[in-house]
Amino acid sequence: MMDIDLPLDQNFNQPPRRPAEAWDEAADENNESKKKKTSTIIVDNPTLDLESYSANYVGHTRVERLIFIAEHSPPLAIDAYKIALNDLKNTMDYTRYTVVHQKLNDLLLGRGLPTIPLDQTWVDNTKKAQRAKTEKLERELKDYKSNLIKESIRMGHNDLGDHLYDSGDLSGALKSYSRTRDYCTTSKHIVDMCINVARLSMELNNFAHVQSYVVKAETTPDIPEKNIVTSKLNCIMGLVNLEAGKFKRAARNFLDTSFELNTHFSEVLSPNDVAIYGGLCALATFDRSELKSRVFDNADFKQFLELEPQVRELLSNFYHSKYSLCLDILEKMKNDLYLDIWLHGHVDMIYQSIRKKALVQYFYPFLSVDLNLMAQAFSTTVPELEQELATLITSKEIQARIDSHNKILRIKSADQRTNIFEKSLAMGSDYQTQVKHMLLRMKLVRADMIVRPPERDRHDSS
Amino acid sequence: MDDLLRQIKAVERAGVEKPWADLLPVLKAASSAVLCSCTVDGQDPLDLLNPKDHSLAYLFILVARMKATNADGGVLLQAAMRFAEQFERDQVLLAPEQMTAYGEATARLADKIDRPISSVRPIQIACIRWSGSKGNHLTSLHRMVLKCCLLAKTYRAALPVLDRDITEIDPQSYDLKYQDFLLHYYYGGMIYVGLKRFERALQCFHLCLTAPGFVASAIQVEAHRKYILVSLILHGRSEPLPKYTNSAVFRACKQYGAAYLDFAHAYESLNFTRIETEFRKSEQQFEIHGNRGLVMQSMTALVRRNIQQLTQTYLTLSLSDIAKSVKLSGAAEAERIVLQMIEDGEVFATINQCSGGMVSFRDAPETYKAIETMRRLKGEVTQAIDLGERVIRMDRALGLSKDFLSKILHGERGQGANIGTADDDMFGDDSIGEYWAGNRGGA
Repeated sequence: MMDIDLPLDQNFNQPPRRPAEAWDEAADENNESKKKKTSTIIVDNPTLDLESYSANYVGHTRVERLIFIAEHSPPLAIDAYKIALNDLKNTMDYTRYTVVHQKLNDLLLGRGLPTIPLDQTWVDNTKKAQRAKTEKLERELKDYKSNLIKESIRMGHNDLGDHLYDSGDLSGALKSYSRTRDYCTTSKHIVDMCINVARLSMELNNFAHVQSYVVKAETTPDIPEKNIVTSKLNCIMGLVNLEAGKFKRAARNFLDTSFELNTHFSEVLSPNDVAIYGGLCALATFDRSELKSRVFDNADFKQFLELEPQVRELLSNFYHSKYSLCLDILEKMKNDLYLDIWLHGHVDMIYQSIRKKALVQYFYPFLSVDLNLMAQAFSTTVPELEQELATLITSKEIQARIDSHNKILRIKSADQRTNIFEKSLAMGSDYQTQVKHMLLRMKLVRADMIVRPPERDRHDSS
Repeated sequence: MDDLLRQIKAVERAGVEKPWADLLPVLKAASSAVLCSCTVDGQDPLDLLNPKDHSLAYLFILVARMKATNADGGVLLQAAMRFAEQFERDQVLLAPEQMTAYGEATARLADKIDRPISSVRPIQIACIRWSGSKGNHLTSLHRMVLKCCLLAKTYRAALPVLDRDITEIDPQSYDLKYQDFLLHYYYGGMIYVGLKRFERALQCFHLCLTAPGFVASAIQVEAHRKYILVSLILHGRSEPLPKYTNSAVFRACKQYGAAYLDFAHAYESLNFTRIETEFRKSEQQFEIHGNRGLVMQSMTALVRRNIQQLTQTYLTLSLSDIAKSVKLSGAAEAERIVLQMIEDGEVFATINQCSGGMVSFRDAPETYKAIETMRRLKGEVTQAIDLGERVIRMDRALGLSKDFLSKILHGERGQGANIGTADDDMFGDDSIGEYWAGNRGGA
């Protein structure tokens, strides 16, 4: 318990100065440590159903997610690798195919199972086909360029980009997509270009780039299919903010996503993900009234929540103050969340802030609370609870004091009058010193007593 | 010498309006050999002259004698004391640089006979009397008093000088350079630290740091180091320098005070192991700068601060728990510190030995209900109003000054237009900037 509390404690003593930054710093630090942690975290008993899970996605993200799961969850590893391999066979990414195949065989060997032979003919054929197609597309593009037809050049770049993406050359694809920029004629083209670039930058982990392209897309006028496009952009921004640890902004992005999105963006994320990410981020950062107005009264998001009944239950239990139920659900979800490609690094951070909020809300209506009862409600022990509460009090999130002898948490009876007296006296004396010092400094300037470099003549500047 | 004496007496007899002004060139022209000599019949001129009536001449002779290589410490220090107690302020105002020399010579003499304490009294008295009836003029002797007190470790002796706020600065009449100002507040801060009056110390260092300038002075760099440590002791964190600090000082402080800033950063985290590592890392540097003691003090202050923090969090807490949460060796040490803090009025608590050393914390008994409080409040308000009025007066004077008006007329891009807000602007950086810009513009 101490280990977790101490770093928290640090962060809470900083916020008065630069809250936003401190929060980000904290998130960053946690990120790093957590990323290290998750690489070692192994989920042994996932409740995930691979088939239905992977059916939600297409393209790269599907393969990425499967590989991620395979690396972090031994029971699912073999199946996940197999599905990934099958997927890769439909693309032209032969390098990746061989890498994944190698991994699968290593794993099978390790468990004493028969290995699967590499489909060498496919690899060779694909290699040839890939090269031929690249050349063909490049040649075509050259022709278009010499003809100076804008639209054709754009299409040429786009096709080349699609092809390179398909064969796993991300930076090449990114380059091709960015080149279409000069040949965009309609706002749809611009938006397509932006989304393509943003998506690829995200895969390349270049989040600053993503943001600038999203902003560009958002400011484009007259976008066709506006709802879907803005939803896509919202999702992208949500993921960027989530990755940066800015949970509140991420929550807003996800909550603003329209349900029309449906499966239109399954090359990045599924509607289920929107529900989970949005729900958890909202729970971690919103207060009660915000939860009501932005989550429960949000028709679109309700539809998302229908897809993930667990998250819906979680939210409503929290809202109805059934904290132990709520914490149970969170505990159940935890393993699967650790297997999520976007969320895994932030799970602990989000869980901590949800728990903190639950504690604060639990105490909110009372004057005094028996710590034993409270510990029961949060399924923890009294000393641990005391520690948690102490942190919350130091960070001024609960106005209360702990009676450690009788194990009771009592609200602090703040004497406003005394406070005001103390504050105004301090303020007054502060004002006086400030003014006195200011006058003195003015006198110094007037008397020309100014710190100067020694070699300089006193008279040459006055 | 006899000649000189005759002239001195003659001036006195003449009974003109400002007799001493005529004497000044004569005294200035006299060589030190003449000033150091005795009369023909072997009498000491210091015995013949009266320090009250002939302050100016007495001062010149005294300084010359003290500067001489074969000066007799004991006798001259007595003379210096006599002079300090009796001189006439109007006379010495004519020769401020002689007063500076007087201070320096006295300090050196005391140092020579290895009794730094013997210079404290004469310089202190001279400084107070010279500084005017309100004692609000900065003089070149100020820093010397403080330095002597520091050397002699008689911090209290500096208080009569230090406790009065300086409000007037007149370099011509008091022979001042900017170093005098910086040193005054630097030494002043050190003296307050010695007396554990950290709030005043912090103010002193702050003034030293924020003095206007083009470049950073070494004094300011030193002051910054101490400023950080003192503000750690006092507030538990190091306040960033205000925005009106000269930018050169900013840079210099960052560069030369890096170890201190790191330490302060660790300190703010309240993490004992981090503080300890930072301390070990820069311990030698602290030692060299002579700040090790302050660093240690800041570390003990941390324990107290943490205990104080506990009073905000707990109503009751056992001694062993206190020891655990502030990382003390055990309940016994916790009890000792808590007891001490109760005695010092830093926490309000009772220790119940029956229930195994349970500490119950209480709120501060001060409820601000006494008449005394109202009186205090009223006093503070009046003072604040006074100050406000002074600022307004100064602002008006500035608004009417020739420099300012000519600047407005020449329309330096309307920079001066907002000078009227000086009284709203508590920090005054604008107005100083303005004035300063005006000065440079005029050059």
